[in-house]
Amino acid sequence: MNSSNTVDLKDRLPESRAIETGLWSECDIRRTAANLWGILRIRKIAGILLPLVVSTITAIPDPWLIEKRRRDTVVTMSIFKEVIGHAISRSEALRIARQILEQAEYERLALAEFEATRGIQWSDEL
Amino acid sequence: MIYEFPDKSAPIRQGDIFVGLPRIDISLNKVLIVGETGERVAKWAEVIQRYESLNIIVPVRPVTAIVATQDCDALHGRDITLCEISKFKDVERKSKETTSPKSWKNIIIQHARINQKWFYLPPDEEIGFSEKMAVDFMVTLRVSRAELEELHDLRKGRLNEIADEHFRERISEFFRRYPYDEWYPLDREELKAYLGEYPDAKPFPWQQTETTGVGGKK
Repeated sequence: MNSSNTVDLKDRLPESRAIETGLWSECDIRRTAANLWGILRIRKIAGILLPLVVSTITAIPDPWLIEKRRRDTVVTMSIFKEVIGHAISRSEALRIARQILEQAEYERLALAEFEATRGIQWSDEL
Repeated sequence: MIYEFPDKSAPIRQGDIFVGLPRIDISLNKVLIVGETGERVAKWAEVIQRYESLNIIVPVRPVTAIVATQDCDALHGRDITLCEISKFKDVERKSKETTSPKSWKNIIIQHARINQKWFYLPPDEEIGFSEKMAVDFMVTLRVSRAELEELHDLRKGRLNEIADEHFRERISEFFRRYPYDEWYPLDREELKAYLGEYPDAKPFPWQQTETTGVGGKK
């Protein structure tokens, strides 16, 4: 035997055997395993610590979230509340608004006309 | 004429005349609700059952107006109340055919003697009145005092001392009026004449007896 380790692939045909070369030793394998274990442990700790650290950072109010919640609330409330009356188009609403203004002015004038027929009537003879 | 023109920095006072202020008209039968899903129209009676506050569309027209709020409130209050100023012929329709100075004189001086719903404002180029105008006590508007103070360019002037004093008394008289049926003290013959002119008047019990003349007792 030489210093190289061979791997005997018993379930394979002889011609597919391959000689693996290199410095193989038990301590190398253990050290690698230990390193891997250490890395895993660090990752595990980091996995616990990172969310804790991040959670403190994100503990401040998130304006986007607040805005979204507010908007959702408004929309929900609007849908709930806007069940009275009936829907109209914007142009129809503006037309009605103009009518309201003109009607109010017409009624004031009509009242002034009515009042003018009552009470003292002024004339040149007064 | 009867106006004076204070410095722009002068505080707002009763009798100050502003142009271009918003007069809003709302219909309680047609409330135009603005929602995120579009516009709706509803009656106010329905609205108050569902909403504490809401946004609506209201029509508005810029008008000329005079400060009705008394001086102390005009200095410290949150809001200023004003009365609209319109053409005299539109406020007092008895004057719509009036042309002669004598007839105008009769109309104008009457409000010194009887409690009218208007206050006369003579024409004056400097203040911007090209014809006879009147304060219409029946039409009021309300604006923020602080914001009105910022619009000092819209103040065209104010009533002078004697007119302001008269305006103050007239507006207070107008708002302290109480309603009563003017025919209540008329006797039978007077009532008959009155009913000829105003047939909708309903006689009082003491005016309904056939045999009495004046008063209600036989």
